[in-house]
Amino acid sequence: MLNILRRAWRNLVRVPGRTVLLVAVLGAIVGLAVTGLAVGAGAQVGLLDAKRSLGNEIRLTPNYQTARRAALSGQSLPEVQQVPESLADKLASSPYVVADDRTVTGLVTSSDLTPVADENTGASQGLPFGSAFPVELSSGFRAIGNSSPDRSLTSNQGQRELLRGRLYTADEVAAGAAVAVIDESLAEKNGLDVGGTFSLTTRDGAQTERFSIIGVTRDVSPPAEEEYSGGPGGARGFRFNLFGGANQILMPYTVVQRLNGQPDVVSSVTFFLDAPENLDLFKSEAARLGLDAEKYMLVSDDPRAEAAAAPFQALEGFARVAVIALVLVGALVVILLMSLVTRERKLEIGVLRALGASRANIAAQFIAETLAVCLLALLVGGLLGGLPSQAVAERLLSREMAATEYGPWGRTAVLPGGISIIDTQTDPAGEAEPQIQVRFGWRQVASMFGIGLVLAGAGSATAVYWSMKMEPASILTSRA
Amino acid sequence: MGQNGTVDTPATGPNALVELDQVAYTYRTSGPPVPAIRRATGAFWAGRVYALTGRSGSGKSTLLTLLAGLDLPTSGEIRFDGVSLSRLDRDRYRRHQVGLIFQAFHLLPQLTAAENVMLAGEISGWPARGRMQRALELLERVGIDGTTARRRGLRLSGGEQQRVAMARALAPGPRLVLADEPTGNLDHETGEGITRLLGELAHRDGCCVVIASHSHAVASRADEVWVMRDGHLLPATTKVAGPAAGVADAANEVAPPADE
Repeated sequence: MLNILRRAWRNLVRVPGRTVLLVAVLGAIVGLAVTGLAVGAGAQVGLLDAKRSLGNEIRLTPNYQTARRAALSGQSLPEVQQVPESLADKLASSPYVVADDRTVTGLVTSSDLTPVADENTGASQGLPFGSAFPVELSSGFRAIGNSSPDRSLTSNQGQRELLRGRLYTADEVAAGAAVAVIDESLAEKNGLDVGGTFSLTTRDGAQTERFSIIGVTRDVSPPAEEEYSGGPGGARGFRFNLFGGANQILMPYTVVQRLNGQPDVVSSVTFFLDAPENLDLFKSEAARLGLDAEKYMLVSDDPRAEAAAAPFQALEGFARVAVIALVLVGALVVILLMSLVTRERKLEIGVLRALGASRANIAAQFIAETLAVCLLALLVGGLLGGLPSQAVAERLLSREMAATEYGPWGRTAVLPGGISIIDTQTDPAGEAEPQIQVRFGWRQVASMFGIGLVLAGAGSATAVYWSMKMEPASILTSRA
Repeated sequence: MGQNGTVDTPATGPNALVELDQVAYTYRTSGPPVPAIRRATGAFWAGRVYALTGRSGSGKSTLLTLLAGLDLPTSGEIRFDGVSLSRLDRDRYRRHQVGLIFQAFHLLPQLTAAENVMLAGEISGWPARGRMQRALELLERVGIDGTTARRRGLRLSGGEQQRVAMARALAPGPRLVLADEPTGNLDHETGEGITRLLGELAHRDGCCVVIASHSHAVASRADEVWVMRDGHLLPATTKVAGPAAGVADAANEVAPPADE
């Protein structure tokens, strides 16, 4: 074995032209791959940061974008499908989901409850679909139900705090108890408080139920212009507030389902994932579980963060494809080079065979030489490839940012699964460019060695193939 | 011719180092098969020099590659020490029993003369310690001094290269030395020196030396001359038997080459 290594080393040193050529070509391939790995890792970090800023919540809602596209193209507005609870159950069974909250909303009227009048003045200002919703309903109330009672203060139209009384319980949710939590201004206007009662009537007037007031809340949301969602009617989150916070009545979601006459559907479901970085995995699994993207969509709470993640996602994908392509091209180049080099060395192979070296012995020598060349190429490529990676990463990221479209609705970023994020509020001129910091950690080092192994394997296999194929008798008697 | 110039007894019998028994070899080509050797039978003894002559393409080199175990006969059998080459580990056989010398020398150009010899030593199992010394000793024996031994193969003259090739062939301590036109690329004087060295290998060291050559000088120094004609191996002369029926014709095929 030592003799084989000695022979291999002697050949590498004594034929420097050949060695330098091989190391230079392989080093260039490895260097480019290293740049790709570093850029990809930097993009991954950027993507992860962006995902972390999204939080670990994702909402399943009807696909309003389908409706929006239909409205924009002049078609009649399609009926928006509510989310079946069976679909919610299916997605909730995903291993990435640790909990979920189901929300149901409904429009109701009341014969003994007077709405807070000034809350209705801007009722239609935020309608995203023009006059898609009937204006006469603006005189009613909005019943909002959650499956998780503690989410009822935060998940709907800003933030509320409980002033008096209590929230409904899980048992009341399960039992469909007719209990309600109302806004303090609505309570004051109607002279009601905890312990009082009022009745609500369904939209079609067919059903009336009497509710007990168990709590009184107050709106503590920041002013509309400071709220990212764009406030009532903001064009991004579709969390338009038709009736204002004061006319919202909180109750168990099962009760709202009953009032709507649709016991098996919900307006939206919020899934709480085990980790923010699993958002994409969950989306993929949802698609696998049969989520119809035309009817329903999964959206994160912060579209701007998703839009910020999009360039990183594109860059990471580009880097991955580039590295794979480089490895394939590199392997082909190695095969070609080693074919030429080995065939050029047929006399040496013939002499070694004439001296009694076995085919395995010669193959081992060629493998040792190829491994040594690849090791040198890794060193050279690793050192040289790391240098331009930051500049390359920044340039590629700028290109990805420039490629992001600004349409009439604002910036559009298309995420995996075909989900488009439309950001109407970000000013492209004033927006700060995202930063990328390339990384080269152990994982990238391991990948680099993996690439080296692939190249070495391809080169060794080629060398062994040709060295095995050559017949010493033909070589030495010039009959080759 | 014997070492003392006397007439030797032709070597026959059961103790030959190498025996050929009805050996045939056919090249497989894309066209019709080309027979190179047809039913060659003969024997080669240790301590003797054999000249293998014949026209170009008559099968001399092919026979040497078969004797070296680089290829196997299409039919028939070659035995070394009574054992068929087809039953031997032929790599091992070449590693320890055979020394090969080529017309084009075939030194590895990236190695020095000494390293070329050491390479053969490495393969045949020389211990690492003292390897260079052994190589230098072998080179000295064939007339290569220490300075020349440290020069790379391509920087040597043809005669020097052939001497190095001879030292390399001797590295495993072979019992059979096969030389394919060893003087073909050398001038007359240098060729004489190489032929003399080959004779020493047989007569002093007891090797069996088989030389394929067109050279009349080589043939004249050999103990026996065999002629290859149309793939047949014919005994041309022996120093005792003299020309026999049919042999004289074959002997005429030791054509005077251009270098003589």
